[in-house]
Amino acid sequence: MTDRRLPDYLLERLALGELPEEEARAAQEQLAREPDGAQRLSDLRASNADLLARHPPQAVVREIERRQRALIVQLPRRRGAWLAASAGVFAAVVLAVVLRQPEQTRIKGDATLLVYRSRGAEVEQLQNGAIARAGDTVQLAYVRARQVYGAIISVDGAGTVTLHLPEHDGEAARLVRDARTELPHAYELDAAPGFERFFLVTSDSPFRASIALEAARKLAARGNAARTEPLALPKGFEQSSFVLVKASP
Amino acid sequence: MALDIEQFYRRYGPMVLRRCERLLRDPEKAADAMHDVFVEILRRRETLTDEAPSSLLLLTATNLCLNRLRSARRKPEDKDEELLMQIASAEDPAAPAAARSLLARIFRSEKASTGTIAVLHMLDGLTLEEVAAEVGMSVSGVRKRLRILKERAAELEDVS
Repeated sequence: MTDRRLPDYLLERLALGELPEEEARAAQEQLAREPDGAQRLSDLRASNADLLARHPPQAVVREIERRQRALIVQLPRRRGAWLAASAGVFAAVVLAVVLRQPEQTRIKGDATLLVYRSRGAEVEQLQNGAIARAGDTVQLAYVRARQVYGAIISVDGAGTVTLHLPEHDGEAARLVRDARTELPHAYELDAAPGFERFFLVTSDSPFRASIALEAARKLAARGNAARTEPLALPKGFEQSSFVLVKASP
Repeated sequence: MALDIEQFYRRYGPMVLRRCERLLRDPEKAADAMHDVFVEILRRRETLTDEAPSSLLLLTATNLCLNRLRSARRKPEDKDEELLMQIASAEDPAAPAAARSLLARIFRSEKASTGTIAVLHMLDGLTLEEVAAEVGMSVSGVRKRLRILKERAAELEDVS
């Protein structure tokens, strides 16, 4: 560690006690070398009190909750088997989103699949097990707490397996930590009966998407078991899934 | 993760607000951005289970503020702000239109973007190793992102 001034960014995390142990020790040593190190921490605490007084928690929480309830977004009204809609294009018509926390079949690991539906003039974040219909346009996204490699595939009630990420069979995509990432294309549900189930398969190491695809094909061949059973993956893989229940036409 | 929003705000709100004020230089805009940072973090509270949230909050705030700076196109008042505007415009010159959508803004904010990486290193003074640890990338990956951004900034300068 050099004798540079401890960056405010790290000072904030040090003050909260949220730096990893080794980094915290180095930051404390660095701060101790600064003539005004102790004062910086003291100033930070004073600033905390001042900002909380200027932005009272109850008022801020009310505003946060108001924004949570009615998040205005823009989405397109395009249809097609695959919609060549980028995240930007996906935002084109102002709509209200009903925000709900998704519940998922988290078989292992901390990866999260998010599914949004655009239907008519509304967009909503779906929960695992939601009812969906042929023609619904869904947008997939994922959240990953740490950097890994991943593939997203779907299996439907007709036994069709589709690769969503990467877009073409090859190396699995590299997922970035802290990222909620939309896939580049929205997806219109077809008339396959029963269900549409999405899998996020991850590994700490690079892998071929074909491994996940092959496991999905084997599961799809087992008919209705594909709705609930996990993928049979080699050791070292993690998976989570999200199922949409298809309503009868 | 069950969260008491008020307690969460009491603990992290001042930090987020300071971050937004440092980047946006406008108390009102910073307060507005802070609210959106919390809205976004609460939407993905499931990612808060295994890590200290301060890093995620700071990264989200940085990205969100960069997107707003990109839309603002105001004249920089000092070198730091000039650097910020360069980073914001070099990262994604097509962003202003998309940033009018809150969803697009939020989705953009979720990535550990090249702009965020540049802010951490060039403005905040974090070392490449510290940046890499913050955003969960390799040091070489961080270095590559910065090189790409600098090349992009140079291209923009040539155009202007």
